[in-house]
Amino acid sequence: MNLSAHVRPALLALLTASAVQAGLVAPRMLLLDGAVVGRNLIVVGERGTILRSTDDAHSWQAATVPAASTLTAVSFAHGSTQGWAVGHDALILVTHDAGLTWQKQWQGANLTDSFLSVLALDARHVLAVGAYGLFVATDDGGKTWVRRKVLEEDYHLNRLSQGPSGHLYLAGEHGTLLRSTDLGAIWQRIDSPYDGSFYGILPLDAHTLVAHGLRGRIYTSVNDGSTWILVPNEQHALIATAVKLPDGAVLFAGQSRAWFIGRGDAKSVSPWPAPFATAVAQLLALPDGSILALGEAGAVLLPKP
Amino acid sequence: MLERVSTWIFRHRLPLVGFFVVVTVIMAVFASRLRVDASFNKSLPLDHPYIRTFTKYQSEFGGANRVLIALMAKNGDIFTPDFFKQLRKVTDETSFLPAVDRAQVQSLFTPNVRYIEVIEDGFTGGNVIPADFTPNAANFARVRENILKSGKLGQLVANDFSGAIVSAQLLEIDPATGRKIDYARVAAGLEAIRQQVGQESKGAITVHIIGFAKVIGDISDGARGVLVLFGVSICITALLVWNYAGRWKLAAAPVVCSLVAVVWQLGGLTALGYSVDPFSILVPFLVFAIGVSHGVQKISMFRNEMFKGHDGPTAARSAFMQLIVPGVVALMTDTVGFITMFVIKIQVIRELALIASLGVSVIVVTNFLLLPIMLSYLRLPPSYGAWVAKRRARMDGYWARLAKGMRPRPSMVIMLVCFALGAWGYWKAEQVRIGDTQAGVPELRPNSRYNRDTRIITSKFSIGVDILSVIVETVPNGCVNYDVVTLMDQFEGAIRTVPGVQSVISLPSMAKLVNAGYSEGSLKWRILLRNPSALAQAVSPIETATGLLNGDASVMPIMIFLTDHKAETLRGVTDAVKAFAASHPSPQARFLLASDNAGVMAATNEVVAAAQRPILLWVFGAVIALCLITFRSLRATLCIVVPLVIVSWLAYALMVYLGIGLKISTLPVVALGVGVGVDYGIYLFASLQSSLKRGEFLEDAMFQAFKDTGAAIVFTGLTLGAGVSMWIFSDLKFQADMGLLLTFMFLVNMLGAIVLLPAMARWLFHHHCRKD
Repeated sequence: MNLSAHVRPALLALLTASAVQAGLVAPRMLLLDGAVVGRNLIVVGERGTILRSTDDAHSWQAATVPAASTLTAVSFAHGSTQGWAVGHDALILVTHDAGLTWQKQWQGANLTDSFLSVLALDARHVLAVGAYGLFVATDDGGKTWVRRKVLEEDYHLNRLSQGPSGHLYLAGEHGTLLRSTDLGAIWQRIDSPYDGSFYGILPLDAHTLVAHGLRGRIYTSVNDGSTWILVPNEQHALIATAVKLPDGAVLFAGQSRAWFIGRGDAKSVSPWPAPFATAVAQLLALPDGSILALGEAGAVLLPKP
Repeated sequence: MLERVSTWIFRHRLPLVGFFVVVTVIMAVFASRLRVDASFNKSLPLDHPYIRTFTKYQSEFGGANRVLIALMAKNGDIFTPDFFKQLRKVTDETSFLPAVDRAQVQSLFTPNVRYIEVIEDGFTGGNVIPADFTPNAANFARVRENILKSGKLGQLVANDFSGAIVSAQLLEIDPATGRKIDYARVAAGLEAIRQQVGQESKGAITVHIIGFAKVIGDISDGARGVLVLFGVSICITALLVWNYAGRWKLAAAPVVCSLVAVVWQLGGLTALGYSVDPFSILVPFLVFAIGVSHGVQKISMFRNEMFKGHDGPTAARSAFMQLIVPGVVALMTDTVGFITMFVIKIQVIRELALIASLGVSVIVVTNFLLLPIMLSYLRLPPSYGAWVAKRRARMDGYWARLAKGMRPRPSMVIMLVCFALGAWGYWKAEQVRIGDTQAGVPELRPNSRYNRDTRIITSKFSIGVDILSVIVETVPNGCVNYDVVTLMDQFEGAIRTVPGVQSVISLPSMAKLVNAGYSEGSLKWRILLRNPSALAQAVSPIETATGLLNGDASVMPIMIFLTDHKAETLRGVTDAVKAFAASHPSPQARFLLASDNAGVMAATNEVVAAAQRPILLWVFGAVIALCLITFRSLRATLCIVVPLVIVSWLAYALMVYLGIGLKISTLPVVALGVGVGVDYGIYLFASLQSSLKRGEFLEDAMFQAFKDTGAAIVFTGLTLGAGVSMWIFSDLKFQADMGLLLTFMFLVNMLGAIVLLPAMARWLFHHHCRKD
């Protein structure tokens, strides 16, 4: 009797384990962006890959995706199960169940258009940007997407971000830095300290910003972008992503082996021992304080820095 | 008829001896020109669809004939003046090796290795080691930085900077001489480099070399080393014969005869334009062993005739008359084992079978012509008769005990134990793996220099050695056809998820890298662009020398790097490729298996797996038919065949325990073991049956059969075992495996014949037993 009490759960566990095992996917493909949705993690990448983890990035399942285009970015409305993934082939996908299943919501007429970043402000308001000044927005949860120009030049728009004050920031090619104080209706140019490409603006608080980009460039601003200070950095590698750690430090990554850590609002940076040797597209801070690196090596969980 | 032939032979003894001497000298001259050819085309199953693809594109893409020379710093890293000096020297010397394509030589010192850096308005770049390089700390730091930027870390420099590689491409036609590449010379040149660096650096830098040319060199050396083992096995066999015959003169006759057979066989091969390969080089051992074991029977018969008071020529002639029929029949049963190997559609195995059959026919000539003539010149002193009689009396004691021991109860125990062993062997035999399990080149031993070098290079660099290529046949200029490259990219995505796949390199994946490079290195631009001119721009830097496309881009291989070449891994990949091809039919692209080393292994595994059962059915079918014809008795056939079946299963169980997989080299072992091993049972049973027919009781017939044939059976088993056991010491793994298994088969089949066969006969021929 004692035995069967032990054996039955063990058998059940064995059976269910093999059933679950079948749906598991090794996160070894090129992954480009990710998002935390409640207790779930969603990551997107090459060939229409969308993976979902419910155990803090330890195991992954493939979501059902009706497309094979490379997806470059994903964003969820705060506190909602509604999310958007965008990518090449002018594609926008939507999910209503926290990333389990995805539907095609919009696709531009010109398939050579590429989205590079998406930002869901809430369940109705979403912005997406991309190559050659591509900018589309919706204010009805994606029923209609409106395309417009926020920049005279056809520069790549690389990343949208939002600060704690509610201000929006947009970083792009040829020193492009934009700011919107009205949730994306009007975009003002920020005086740029650099004419190379920026890959993102990371707001640390209402006034403090960190901009990063080509050739190891890192700039900080303490006045919401009015003036910028160059942070000295000897290694001239692309910095594609930055993330704020729980202790206030900022971790930068991008080209292979280009890892830096910035202390004191990133006023100075120092090389950080690279945990692996391949390039990174996105760093993601997980609720438990660990960092997930997404890139060439797929999804790699870093130990808490 | 036989009478007339033998009369003629012995009347012309002297001219015949002269004839043998002349032919042997001629054959020896031919044999001295014997070439050892380690080219592996002969070991390919040419009928297999994978191999048809492989051979179709071999000339176009087989160009990836690379040699990697890794210099490893014993302590510390590569950034020392000494290391750089040696690396430069090795780079220069590699360029001057025969058949090396000088433009393709790559190392940190060659101008084709550059770093590229994205700057605000485009690219900048330069040589990894600048032209003005002088060895000092600042310059070393700069080179280290350049290595990182060049993307060659892991390719040309060890991931932990502890070593660097010089990579060279070999051309099929040596540009310097205009002749076909001579692998032996390339391999010798590589060894010279290894020696020189070791000496000049006083051991501070070690050199590790991998590549097809080195494999060929090492295998040829290993195959040549087998000839030394051949010498040892001749000595051991000669000692065994001497022990049996008791006189050097008498012992020399079968040994010399068998050597003559081997010389003829090797000379004949050369004369017919064959070269020996690492497989067929083993045949002389077998031929020699078979020749000696049969020759010994003639000695035995000859001295019996002598003791009857005949003179040399008469005794020899009488022995010849009595043995020609059973002897030729026995040699034919050996040939049955060889002939069943024709089931395997692999040239090297078929040549092995052919050469072995040729050897056996030469034995017929030497053993039935030369040996009787040689014996007829011998004079044996009367004291020799006494010696033989004394010895025989001692042996008969053993045999009497063995025959008496076969009472109902002990013989039942023997049967049960043997059947239990057989059942266990059968159960174990199911677990025999197909193909190779060891890492590195399976032809060489796991701890051979080459395989150690492979382990060092694969662990320190990001270099894979197990590659399976899928050939994509598409339309001209398929490389700029968005649908084609996208399908290939999808294929890559599907294959990457298969267990055992480490990485995949193809034209689309390279084009994606190039495209990201044009886009400041951003990972988000690792895509294939829809715009044809943009796609062409991403594809244009990929040269045909990469082996990823042919001249008009109508054929594009996809290289799949595997973690190992275990049969399951290969199976998983080939199944996934077939599944993808079936679910993505496209008029523009066909995905064809397979090329490169793992592709060839996958094909060979399939052929071996398919031939496994037929070869056993054929050999056992032939043996059963032979027994039924000879003895016209189902019981006799059972007594002879059951021990052989049990021993075959045990041989498979042994393979499981030793981790030896079923492959080209081990597949014929059971057929050979059974074909040769059946002789024991036939000798014993022939004697047993003739006594029983005379109306004797089984117990007496058994003792008589042991007395007549027991010694010859034990002797034959030992000679054959001595012949093949020497292979165990070969440098080549597959020869050692074959040697081990064949020794097992020959010796244990002998035991089966003198232990299990009588025990079974005790029960199957119960009606002939004495009633107690």
